[in-house]
Amino acid sequence: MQKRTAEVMNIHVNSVTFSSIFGIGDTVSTNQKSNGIAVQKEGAIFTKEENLHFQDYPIFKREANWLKQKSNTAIEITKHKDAIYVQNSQVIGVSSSSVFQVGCIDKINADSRIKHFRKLRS
Amino acid sequence: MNIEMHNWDVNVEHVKVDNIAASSVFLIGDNEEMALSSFFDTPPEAFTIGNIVPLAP
Repeated sequence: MQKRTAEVMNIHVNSVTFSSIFGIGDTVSTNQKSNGIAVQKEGAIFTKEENLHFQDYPIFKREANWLKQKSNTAIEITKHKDAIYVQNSQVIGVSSSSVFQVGCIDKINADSRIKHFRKLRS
Repeated sequence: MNIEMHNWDVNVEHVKVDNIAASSVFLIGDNEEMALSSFFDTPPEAFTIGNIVPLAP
């Protein structure tokens, strides 16, 4: 597979969180998983017993439906120019099993699950 | 199925991205295979209010 190089003049990334990857250069493969429960609560006093647990919610146990069989398409790539040019790139956030890659990356495998709660005061 | 791909110039001046979240990818380069899955859940009952406060007229 003919790989191209990426030429980026300047990059600005603010935050990379929750099993995310900001990669410069080549990567072979990634395998990322992230589970999150987001609680938005009015009068934010978070006590111990109000903690929520992953095992209480089926969303974190469900099987992700990945593609069953690999596609048997023959791809023949010829590169006429060697590089990809980007002048400036600006990213505020890379979060929950995401990837910001400058360069080649062959295989990416990412799974993220987020459950939201909003609790308003009576 | 056969695919023949010819890669010529890629010149980008400026990219501004707010957020790359929930198993997403922002790639400047080549790739062979991506398997991305994301579950998101905000059920109605997740929105709880103490007791229903009547809105002022």
